[in-house]
Amino acid sequence: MSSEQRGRTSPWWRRRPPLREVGSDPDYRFTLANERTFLAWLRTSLGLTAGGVAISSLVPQFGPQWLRVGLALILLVLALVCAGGSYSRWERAERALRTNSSLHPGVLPRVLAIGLVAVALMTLAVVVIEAAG
Amino acid sequence: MIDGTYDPGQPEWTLPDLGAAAERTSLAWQRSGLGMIAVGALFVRVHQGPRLLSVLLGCVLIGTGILATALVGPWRYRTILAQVSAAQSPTSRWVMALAAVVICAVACASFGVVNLG
Repeated sequence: MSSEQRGRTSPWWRRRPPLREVGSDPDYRFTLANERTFLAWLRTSLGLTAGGVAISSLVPQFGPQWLRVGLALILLVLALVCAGGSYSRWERAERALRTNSSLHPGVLPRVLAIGLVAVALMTLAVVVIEAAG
Repeated sequence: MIDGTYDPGQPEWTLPDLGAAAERTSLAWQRSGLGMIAVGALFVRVHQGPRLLSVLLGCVLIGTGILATALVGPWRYRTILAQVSAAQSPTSRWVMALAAVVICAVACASFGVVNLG
């Protein structure tokens, strides 16, 4: 059965073979570096969660409430995306290492960068408006 | 005991970096655990939503952080050394999946803790 036929008949969670059955064991240093990158994404998610909770609770005088809510929402959504994407990113990288194929960066860094730029610009706008007023 | 000498004729997995790579990974787990404890303390102390949800989230994060710091970090160090010395891949898929699920659940539940009104 070709992979295309199997893709049509099998449920999505059975399309990919188990990780240990793919390719061959890579250099252990790459596997460990991949694990540390996964943990770094988890810590990023934790930091974003803390930022979202803090901005909605710790700085009640910082700008209008709708802006604080917006900032908190953006930070929490980014935290969710980072936490959810960290595992799939790790598995994709591990499969690429095992098959000796190139590592695809994925969209996660781009989404995080865009979201953080939006948060920084909104924060800067509040600071400038409050300083001018 | 891992031999710290470098022999260019040996395969790559016997390089002296083995202990250091395992140690870095173990420390990364412990840093992540400390981060969980810190964010858990934030949830317990600062909240604007339901008090019970906030305290529950904080306790889950602190408990997971203590596990990651005190158990998973040292356990990963030992298993990495053992698996690499036995020429096996030191992958720990289920521990990572569990950590990702916990952090995902906390990120989801934190929408209920912040004041969105």
